[in-house]
Amino acid sequence: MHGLGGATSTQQLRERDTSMPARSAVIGGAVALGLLLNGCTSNPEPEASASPAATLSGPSEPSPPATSSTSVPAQSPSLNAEYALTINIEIAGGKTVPNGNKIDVRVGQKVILNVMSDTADEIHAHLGEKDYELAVPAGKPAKGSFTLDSRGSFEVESHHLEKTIVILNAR
Amino acid sequence: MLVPLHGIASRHDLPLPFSFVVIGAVLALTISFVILIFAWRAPRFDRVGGRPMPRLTAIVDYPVTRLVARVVVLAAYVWALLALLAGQDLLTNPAFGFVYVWMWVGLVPISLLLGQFWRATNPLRTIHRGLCALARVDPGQGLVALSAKVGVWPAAAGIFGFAWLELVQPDRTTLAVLRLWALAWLVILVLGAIVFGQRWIGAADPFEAYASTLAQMSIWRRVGDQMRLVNPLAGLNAWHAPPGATAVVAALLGSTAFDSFANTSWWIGVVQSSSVPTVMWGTGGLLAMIIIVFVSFSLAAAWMGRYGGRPAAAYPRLMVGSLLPIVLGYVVAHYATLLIVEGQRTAINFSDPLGRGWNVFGSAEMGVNSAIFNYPTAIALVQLAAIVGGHVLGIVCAHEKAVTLLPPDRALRGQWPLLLVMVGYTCAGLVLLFSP
Repeated sequence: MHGLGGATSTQQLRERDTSMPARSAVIGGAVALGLLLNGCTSNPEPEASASPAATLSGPSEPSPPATSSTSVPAQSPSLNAEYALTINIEIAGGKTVPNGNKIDVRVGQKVILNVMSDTADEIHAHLGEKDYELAVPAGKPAKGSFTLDSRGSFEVESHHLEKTIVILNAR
Repeated sequence: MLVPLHGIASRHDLPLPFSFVVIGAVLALTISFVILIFAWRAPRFDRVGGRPMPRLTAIVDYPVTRLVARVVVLAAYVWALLALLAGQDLLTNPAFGFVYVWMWVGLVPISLLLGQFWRATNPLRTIHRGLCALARVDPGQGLVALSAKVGVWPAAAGIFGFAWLELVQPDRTTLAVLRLWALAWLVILVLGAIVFGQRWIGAADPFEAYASTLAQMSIWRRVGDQMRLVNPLAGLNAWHAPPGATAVVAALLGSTAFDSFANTSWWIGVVQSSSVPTVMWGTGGLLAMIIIVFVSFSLAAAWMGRYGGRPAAAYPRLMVGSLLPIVLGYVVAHYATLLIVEGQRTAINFSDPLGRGWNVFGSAEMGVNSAIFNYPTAIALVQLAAIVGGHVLGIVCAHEKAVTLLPPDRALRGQWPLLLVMVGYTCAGLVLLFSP
């Protein structure tokens, strides 16, 4: 799963977006949008997400719908600037998940990082003129967010491992 | 500013839309076969032609002009050296942008617009001349004669070395690393020039070899003693490529391709989850790309030996000029925004080489205008036009050479493998820009 291409990871992201928070009323609109974006998922029921996407299983968040232990409030179809995009990052044993995948985001969209690492680390997001840094303590979840305000392809990296976690393609 | 893992830019071009990849591939294939089927059957550029420019020649050859140009360029290098040796180890140090952007990418427009300007003002040549003047010896004279067979082979190795520094070397944006490389470059080139005479610089300096090669496509060309304004294709056709030119071109094309390839999520994923060190992957991948280009091109060109009067091994060097437009297309598509945006940043930082708040050239207060990134469709169109345009010009040059070198009735049969290889390079270039 880890080595799969960026397109796949985005796909996983969208699938999950549409299927996971089906119970939450707030998400109704998002599901509809997700359907539009996916074009194929006819049934936004949890079974679609029976296999938890690797890119999205991460530290669990105090999330209102809380359907399962690994669920995370990815509130949105990833391509809508109205909603935040949540990326769950797991760093363990010198490896990162995601592992260099490419994710499409919208300019103006808030990007939330949920990081769980077994060692202290620093996450760097290279955002053109201004960069973003998130200090991550060992063994404790860390959360941060930034907004992409211009277009381009941006790397989010683990500073200590010197590895690329995701590449954000902001359009 | 945080140091990015890869290169000096914090932002990269968006992937080329997939529809552009398809359109580009279809265009490249169609135009190639149209050219092959309907094109001319007799050489068209058998003479360089163009317009003689006697006054321009006089100005360019005027000793004071040459001296001023050399001194100005040398001064820029000395300024960059100051930043390299005494500046801060931060990305705001202009030494990084000077090397990776101004020199390596900037030499492309310089060579296209100004012909052999790089060679004429190469600071290594200036330093070597200065040393020779002090020692009262002729700069052309060395201790040992350099065999003509050496050609530009050492420069091909140098281009691989620079590409390795730019794409593989860990901590490439730290001063300690860059200083070592700069020192190696200076010592190898200047000592070599003392041993072999200044011809060594033309043979071994990766920057001059790259610049001189691209200058073959310039609108300015020296024919005999005179500068001429020429059709770049006619000029390129007149190029007598030195031994090793195929390796130089393969190193340029292969390293540019590897730069893109190393940014695909497939490659990143494989390398990052492997226990083999990243440096090994990078070295292997870079070498593999260069060898793939070198071997595929050499084999395809050697095929012409079946139809012409020369030994098969002679054809790659005779045909290598036709790859230059493809190299140019790749370079424009990959590095145009880098040159525009990071080039500005370097210009801004150039005012303050030591990080002490200086504003020597008045550029320190300017901001980087990165508005170009707001037009991803325009960038994608330029990339597409560069790749496909380079391909078409490459096919035209290859065809012209083929009808020059082969009997007219056999020229087509001789050149089809080369055409297929070029279509392959172009499609690969497009897919790499799509950056899966």
